Amino acid sequence: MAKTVLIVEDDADIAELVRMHLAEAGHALEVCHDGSKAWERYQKKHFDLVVLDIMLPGMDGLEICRRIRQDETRYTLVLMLTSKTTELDRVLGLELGADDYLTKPFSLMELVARVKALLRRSEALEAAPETEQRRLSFHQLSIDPTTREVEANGQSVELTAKEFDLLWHFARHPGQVFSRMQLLDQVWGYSHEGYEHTVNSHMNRLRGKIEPDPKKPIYIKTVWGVGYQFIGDRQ
Amino acid sequence: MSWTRTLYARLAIGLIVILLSVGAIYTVSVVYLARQWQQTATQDLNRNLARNLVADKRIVSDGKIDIDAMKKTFMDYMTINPSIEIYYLDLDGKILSYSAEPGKVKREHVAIEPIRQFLSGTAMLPLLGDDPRAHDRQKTFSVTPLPDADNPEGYLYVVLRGEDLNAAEQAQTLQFVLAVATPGLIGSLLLGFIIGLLIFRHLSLRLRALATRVSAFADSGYQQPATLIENDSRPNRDEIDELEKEFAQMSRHIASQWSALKQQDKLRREMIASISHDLRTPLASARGYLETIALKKDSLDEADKARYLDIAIKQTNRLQTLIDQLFELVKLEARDTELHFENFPVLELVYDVVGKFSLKAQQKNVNLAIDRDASDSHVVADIGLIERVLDNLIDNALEHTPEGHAIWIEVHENHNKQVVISVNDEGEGIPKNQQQLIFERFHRANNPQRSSSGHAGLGLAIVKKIIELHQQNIEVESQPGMGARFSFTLPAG
Repeated sequence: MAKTVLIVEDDADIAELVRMHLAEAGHALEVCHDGSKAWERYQKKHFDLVVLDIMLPGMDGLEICRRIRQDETRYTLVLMLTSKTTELDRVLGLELGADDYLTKPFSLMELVARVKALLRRSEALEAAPETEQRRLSFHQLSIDPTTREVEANGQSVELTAKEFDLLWHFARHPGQVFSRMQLLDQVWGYSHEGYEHTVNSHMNRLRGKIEPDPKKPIYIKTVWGVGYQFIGDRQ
Repeated sequence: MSWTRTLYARLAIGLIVILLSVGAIYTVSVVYLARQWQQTATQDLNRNLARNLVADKRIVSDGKIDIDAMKKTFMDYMTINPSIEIYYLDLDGKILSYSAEPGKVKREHVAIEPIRQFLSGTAMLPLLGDDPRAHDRQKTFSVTPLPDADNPEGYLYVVLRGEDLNAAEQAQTLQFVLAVATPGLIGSLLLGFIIGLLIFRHLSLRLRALATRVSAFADSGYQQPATLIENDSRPNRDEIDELEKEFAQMSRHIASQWSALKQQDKLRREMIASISHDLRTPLASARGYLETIALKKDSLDEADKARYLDIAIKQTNRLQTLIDQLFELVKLEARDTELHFENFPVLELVYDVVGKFSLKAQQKNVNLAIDRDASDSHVVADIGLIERVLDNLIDNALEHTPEGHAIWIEVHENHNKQVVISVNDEGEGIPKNQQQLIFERFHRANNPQRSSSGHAGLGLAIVKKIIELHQQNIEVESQPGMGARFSFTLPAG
């Protein structure tokens, strides 16, 4: 089934390039050059994906993204196009809820690949709802996915959303070694080119919160040259 | 500047106004006091005049007022001694009889309160009572009850210094005062004026000297800081001395800021020049190949077209890298980057970054490895920025290492509570005279292999900036043909 994509880009040449390449992939497309018109179109019609530039006349892309995420009646995928590092910081920092992003100038091949991956992932999610929602307990560590509460060494631990996601991912696959790129793909969902260190930062903070001695981790161990591994026997 | 607008002139004018006011107040008060003194003396001398008159002229006989004797006395005094005027008053101060020509007396009543005060004998002199010859004038007087103090029926009221003497007396007083006081007054005012002018001249000369130095500093284009005139020896340093000292310091500060600003401006201009050159080169190349394809699309075979397009894409990639690096460097230099310090095992990050480059290294057939004895010490640094440092150093090493050679990374802790991380390559090395220059913006080592690599040299400038932001050091050791070793320190966590 053809997916509907709304392209919001004020530069006509770039909009045309994007339209051309996505049309080849078999999607039904609509192009808007103005932010407020794009918002009107979004309200009138269902789209599977919105490709959204940030700098726009009428209403900027960050605002449109925020509104799309506030719409609880439907979930529409958003792929942001940014041209400034400061914008990138906002996209990532505010966790506006974009599903993926590309920095300008971008390769059209990459754009097509990202769009394909996004649409496929959303299909997969719709087909298979979350399987495991049971509480997981290990030696001195227990993780509750429904309340998102973690207890380590007998004490309740406050984790941020991403720290929890990271720990939950590890705990569901004990013994398995993940590379940094795999964690980025599987926990964050999109590849942060130039922002890979986000994984190191989160890992570091997570260890600081759950490990008795963060310098000698017992739960999340490093397998030098391969990746990271969760050690623990389910109880 | 008109001389009246100088500080000195203004101070002088102010001084003149003050001295004239002082002189005027002084004169007025001297005249007033002299008159007051004169009145007191007169009244004191003639205190008993009224009582003596009553006794001498037998105005009271056998306890009764002799009206005839009184009238005779009135007549006598009017002719003999016109300087006194005599009135007969009732107990309320109503004038019953007097010694003047009719029509000269204007009042029917005089105020009784001064009379009572006089008779009580305790009042301070001079006491002024109403002058019956005018509605608005008061004079000194002498008074006695009639016929006697125990059984008064009225008062004998003597106004001292009659009307005619008034004007002459005032003129005389003024003349006396002026004659005695004026030379002294004028002399002291002049002396004050001269001393004031000298003091003001001294102060305003110092201020003017300072003003001259300030404008000289401005005229020099804020480049020649004022030298501090060494007057610390002055025993009493005042505000002007402080001002001079402050100004000397301030001008030094401004001059150094100014030259730093100019230096920065010069660097910026050089940077813009080199940026536009470095941006134009890949742009020109990409455009050239794209235009070639557009112009000769019929005559070019598919292989050439593909090759030209490939070059155009590579050049745009180079342009993008350059722009990204440029923004990164500008951001770092503008201190917009806030460092997020974290305590983390740096070796993990090294492995992750090496993992990122392993495919590229394999493609180039370069052995990219981490030393076996690498320390897993923690460091305190900004993870994101340190990843950039490792990215750029490894990328740089890969660019310079020929096929079949190796790159290895060492991590160890030194005695200084620092972790030293070094990236070693087996590339062509860097000549001694270029080793410091390679950290400069847009420096590109002088060899053909490198200029084709698409790296404009911003990578190492970024590395240096990040290490500086961490207040750490980066060094390069190299000998031409023997490879290079870049090592930097981070504080151990």
